[in-house]
Amino acid sequence: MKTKNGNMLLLTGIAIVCLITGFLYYHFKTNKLAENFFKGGGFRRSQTAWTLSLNKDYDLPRGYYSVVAYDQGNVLFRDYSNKTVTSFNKDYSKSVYPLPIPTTIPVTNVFRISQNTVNPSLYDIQCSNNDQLFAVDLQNKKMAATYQFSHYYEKAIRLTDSSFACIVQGDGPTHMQPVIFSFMHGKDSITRKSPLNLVSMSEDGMFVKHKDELIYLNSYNHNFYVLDSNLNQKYIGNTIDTITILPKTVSLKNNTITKFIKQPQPVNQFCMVVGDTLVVNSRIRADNDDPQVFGKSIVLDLYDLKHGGKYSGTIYMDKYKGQELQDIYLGHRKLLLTYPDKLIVYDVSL
Amino acid sequence: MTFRYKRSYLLTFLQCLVSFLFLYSGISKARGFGLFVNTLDKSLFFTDFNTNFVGGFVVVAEFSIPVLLFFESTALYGYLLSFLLLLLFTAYIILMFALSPYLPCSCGGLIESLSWGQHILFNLVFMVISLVLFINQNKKQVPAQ
Repeated sequence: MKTKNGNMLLLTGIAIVCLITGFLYYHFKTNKLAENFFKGGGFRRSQTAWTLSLNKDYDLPRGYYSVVAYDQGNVLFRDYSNKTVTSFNKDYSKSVYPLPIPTTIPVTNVFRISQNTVNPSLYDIQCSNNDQLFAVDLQNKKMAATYQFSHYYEKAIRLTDSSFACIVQGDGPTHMQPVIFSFMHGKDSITRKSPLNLVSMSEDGMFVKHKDELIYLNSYNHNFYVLDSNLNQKYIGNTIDTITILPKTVSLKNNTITKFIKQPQPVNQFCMVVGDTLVVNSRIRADNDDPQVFGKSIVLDLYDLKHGGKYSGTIYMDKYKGQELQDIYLGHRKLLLTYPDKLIVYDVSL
Repeated sequence: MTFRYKRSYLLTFLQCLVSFLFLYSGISKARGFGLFVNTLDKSLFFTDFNTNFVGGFVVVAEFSIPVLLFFESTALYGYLLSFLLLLLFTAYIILMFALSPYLPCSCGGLIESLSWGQHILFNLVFMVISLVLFINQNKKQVPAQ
């Protein structure tokens, strides 16, 4: 009697395994990811030749830092715990510049500090929660301009003296849209709206500028959008990680709260443009990456913007003491990396 | 030592081996659960799946095998689950090998360092062991005539 039961259990179990296998097969065949993967050339990295030599390194008290600029040999960086920008000067002196912004703005509202691309003696400070952006002269501790936005904005990138490309809420509560804000006599207006409608949170990303193009790189999937000066989409580039798709979100309480169904994996952490190359710090291990080596490396994938964002190679470098990277800056033939207790400057040639 | 005793020792040894395999594999996956789920995310067979749930199910199933094998009354189910889980893993590996251009492995621990051929062979060996133990246990539980 027992033997019969056992045999029945075994046969039922095998049938269930067959069903699950069949379902996996069907699911695989009906989604187009494998096909896209082949079209994308698979997910294998190839190492690019480059030279890197240590220029300087600076010890920092343990904290969270980002690079603001590399300006004529001076390294400017930000400590997220206070409202200052510190400069390690080329003459080995150190300067600390308090941010000349209203004292009512808490440090947590200071999102991003970057060098003003139109007037490099100024720095742009984004305070999105206050709908404000400030252009400041750090050395003279002066406010040069205040831009009061009439909408909540994110990820502003300066286009001209009086215009910025930003992300604002798009059509519906779960969408975002790239727009251009122009300022005239202290008043802002949206002068361009991109037809691109991004899914909020899932398509969170970052802007970088390349000549008259804007590039929006997704943090959680393998796409980057290349937009023209009118914010129309020129093409969608793919990072070589051809298998990562958009993370799913769920809307709760009548669409007032949106949450990730599960914590998404960061795919593209940082990006910058050097010449005609888009440099992306990727967090995804390729098929041919050694898991041990990958865990200890900073991986920079290079994409050729002259040829439709085609992948052109990868740079690998060791993480400092295996610590997690906090920020990357690449420009002026220098590579700057910030870690919880170190800022390292390398001379680099690509 | 009679053949009966030798056989009994061998079966106990094999039972320990199966228990150890799933305990080790379960601990490896549970300790690196985030990585395990991320690897499942990269599998083209699990797109649009809640991989946290799939990963959690696999870990719970793996941990439950040594527990089931520990008790004489539930050992039969432990061997069955072990056999079926290995069968499923093997079928999945073969599917990946045959269809997927990308082969992410999420087995955990030292098993992860096996090649795909070794993986299949390893699974087959443990499948045979589990099946033998299952048949033996099934016979043992038949009431004496």
